[in-house]
Order: sequence, then C-alpha cells, then structure tokens
Amino acid sequence: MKALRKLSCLRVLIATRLSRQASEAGSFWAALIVDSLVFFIQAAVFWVIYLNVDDIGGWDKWRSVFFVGTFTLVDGLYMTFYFFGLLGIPEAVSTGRLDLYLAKPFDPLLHLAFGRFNPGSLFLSLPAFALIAVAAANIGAWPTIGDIAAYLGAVILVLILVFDLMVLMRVPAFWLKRLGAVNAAENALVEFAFRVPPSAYRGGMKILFRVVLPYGLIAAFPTEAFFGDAGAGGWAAAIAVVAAFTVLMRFAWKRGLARYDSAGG
Amino acid sequence: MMRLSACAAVARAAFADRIAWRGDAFFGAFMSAVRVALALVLWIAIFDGRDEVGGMSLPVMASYYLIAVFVFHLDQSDSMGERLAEEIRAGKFGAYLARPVDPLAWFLSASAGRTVFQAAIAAAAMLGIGLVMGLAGTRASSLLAPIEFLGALAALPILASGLLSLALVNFMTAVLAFKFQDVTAFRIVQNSAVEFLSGALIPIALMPSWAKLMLELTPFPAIASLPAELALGRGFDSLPGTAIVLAAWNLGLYAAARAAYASLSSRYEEFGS
Repeated sequence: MKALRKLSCLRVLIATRLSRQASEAGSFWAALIVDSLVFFIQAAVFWVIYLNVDDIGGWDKWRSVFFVGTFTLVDGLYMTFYFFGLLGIPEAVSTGRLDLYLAKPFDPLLHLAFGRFNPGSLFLSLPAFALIAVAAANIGAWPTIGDIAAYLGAVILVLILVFDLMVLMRVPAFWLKRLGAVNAAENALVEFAFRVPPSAYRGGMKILFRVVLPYGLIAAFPTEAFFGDAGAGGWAAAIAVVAAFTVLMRFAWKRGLARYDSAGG
Repeated sequence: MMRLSACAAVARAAFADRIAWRGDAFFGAFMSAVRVALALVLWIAIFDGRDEVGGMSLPVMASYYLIAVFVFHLDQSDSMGERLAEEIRAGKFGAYLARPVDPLAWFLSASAGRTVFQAAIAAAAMLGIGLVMGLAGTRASSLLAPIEFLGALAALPILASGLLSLALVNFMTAVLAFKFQDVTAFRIVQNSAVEFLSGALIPIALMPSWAKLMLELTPFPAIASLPAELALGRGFDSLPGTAIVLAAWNLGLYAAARAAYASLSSRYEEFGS
C-alpha cells in the first residue's frame, strides 16, 4: 500500500515535470546535444582503439560497441529519471531548500530525485538501441526472450545501483561545505565505468570495481547478462552488491537528515 | 608598460589566491594521477600479448598518458570562465569594469597565475608518480619510457601557446553568458571535444592519417599530445610548422575574443548601472 502510494506520487511528479519541460525547449535540446556528444566521443575512442587492435582482453569490436550502447542506455535512463534531481542535493542542504521536501507527505529523497525529471535524455535511448542492435547482429547473437529479460533485469538493477552511488556521493553535503573533491572522484569513476570494458580487469581490479567501488558493474553487468556470461554466481553477486549499497545509502541518508539543520528546521 | 605591470600584479594575486586554496591544487594533481592509473588498466589489457600498438610500446604509452593527462589538467582558464559566466549571470560583472585592466587581460592574467601554481603542484606529483613507477634508475624494468630533456624543454613554449589558445576559447564561451545566461552546456560540449581532440583521451598517433593531418592544423594537440610526444623524443619534425600554426591561431582567437566581448557586453544590464 505504501509502495503503491509512492508510485502514484512519482507519476504525478513526472507528469508535472513534463508539462514544465515542454515550456523549456532550450534546456531540453541542450541536455540531448550534450549527452549525445559524450556518447559520440566515447564511440570515437573505441573506434580509434580498434583501428589498431583486434580485441581488448578477448572482447572484439562488436562486444565493445554493445558495451558502449549499454552504457549509453543506462546513462540516458538515469539522466532522464533522477540524475539532475540528485545533483541538487548539496544545494538543497546548504540553502535550506530541503525543508520544502521534508514538509511534504512523500519520501524527501525520492521527491528530490525525481523532481527534476528530464525527458530530453530519454532520446539517448534511440542511438543506444541502434548500437546494441547492430552489435548483436554482427556478433550473430540473436536474443531469446530470456536474454532480453535478463538484460532488462540487469539494467534495472544497475539503475538502482547508480541511484545508491549518487546519493552516497552527495550525503557528505550534510557535513561538508565543499564537495569538489568528492565530485571529481565520482566523475573519474563514472568515466572509468564506460571507458574500460570488464575484460580489461586483472586480479584485484575485479573486486575493487565490482564490489568495493562497483562502478565497473554499470555497463558491464547488463552486457554480461545479455550474452549469458553472468551465470548464477554473477547474478547473486550483483544482487548482493546492489542490496548492500541500497541499505548503506538509506542508512547514510538518515544519518545526514539527523544532522540537517536550517532556518526552518 | 603600466598595463603589463598591472597584468603581472593580477597574475601574482591569482597565484597567491591558489596558495590559499592549495588543497584544491593538490587534489587536482591527485585526480590526474587517478586518471593515469585508470587509463593504464585499459592499456595493460590492450597490450596483453602485443609488443606495440600504433608504433607505441607499453612504457611509451604509459609515459604518454602520465604527461598528457597532467599537462591537459594544468589549464585553469576553464574554472575562471565558469566563474566569469556565473558573475555575468548573477549581475556582478560590474566589478570587472572597475579593475585597472580590461576583462580579457584580467582573465588571461589570472588564468596564467593560477596555471603556474597548478603546474608547480603537477610537476611535483608527476615526479612522485614517476619515481613510484620506476622512472629513476632501472630503465629495463620500468613501466615508463625515458624523458628527453631537450624535448621536454621544447614542449614548454608549445604548451604555453596551446594553453593561451584554450584560455581565449574559454573566454569566448564565458562571454556567451551575456546572451544565453546559462553557458553550462556550451562548456561541457567544448571541454569534451577539446579533451578528445587534444589527445588527452587517446593518443593522436593512433588516429587515422587524415585525422592527424587535420588536427595538425589546429591548436588542440599543443594542449596534451604534442608536449607528451616531444618529452618522449618524438614529433620534432613538426615543431616549426606547429609553432606557426599556434601563433596564427592565437592572433585569430585574440581578435575573435575582443570582437565577441565588444559585441556581447553591450547586452549586460545590472541593477544600478
């Protein structure tokens, strides 16, 4: 019942945001152009690498294209739904804007996150699907319903993980005035997530980037799920990591809220 | 003469300001080190079973990234541009008009002062990483290729010219705030394109020959790729041509920056002005 109420609130929030976005065509196109350029540059980087080598740790050109397409899809989805909202957490904390969210009868974190729904980024899904389809066709891997279901399940799982990681990187705003260092570290880790395919990880790198700092899962896990490389152990590990980070995120958020103080608080 | 001394005073003040915020500079250098390490994760996998890729061995590639990434992140005009755009948007640009140097000269001088401080920190960080990676001493077992002293020396004026070009572009992007208010999207597009075209993301040597030829006619390689190549004892042949190209670009960009400011600043309105 509580979950249904939250979903209903989210639907209203997104509908409101959509009607506001319709009157801000400039920001809509800006988001689309910026996101597309980042995707284009990453595709160009892999294109240049594969002009010089046939494979990266056993991954051929098309497997890497699929990987880039998957990252683009995940990127487009999280930028559509919660990226811009979560980006505003430090400002909401420092200015006291968080009061507005705490006073409303809806989860303040979800309200903050989905309050800046950005449909422009959803258009990134089109080139992402094109890349994924072309790569799958060239690999000769025509998917079964099970492959598609596994892929979609993995994408949803990593969307939850990215949400957790974004909140954890912004919760320090309750204690610190400047988050430049944290933001820079997050940017470097996200860049790593889409620039380095998992076939490049060696030794302890796997533990580091798939468990401790699980940015390496973002595009890698859905790709592995699609091609059946994840296995039962891989799924169990990914679900365990996402569950652990979700619990950690909620705990950190509550600790932050307990520390929050403002003019109206 | 007086104007030059005023510019030098602005640069010194910007340098001193960075000393006050030295934590940011140290962290910037640390993040450059992290970026080099992350790039190496990918390249070690690519070199698995290969002696060379695009004519570069793994030590040459590792050294290339160490230099190119650090050099690329020396630029401080981007953060200066961000600040200038915010001040235009917030109606605080009036303070620039009261300064003893015009906004473009102030922007370039302050960027230079900050960049010099960042360079000092970055040089120390690069040396530290170089030592860690085995640059000093055992060349045979080192992950890095040796640095050519003359090449590194030749890279300095090229890098300074490249950074000047970038600062002029950043100034033009910032003054777009007179017209568009929020220039964040312009800045992200510009920074992403420059990072790729400068060779900070991937060595220009690996690109197809038509792309290399086109990039030689732009100032972008001077911001990362060319200083790294020169320091590694490569790319001396193109040095005279590059110097001419950079001088031409800087003259053109300076004129364009002046023209952009003259035509856009008339749109500025501030309470009380």
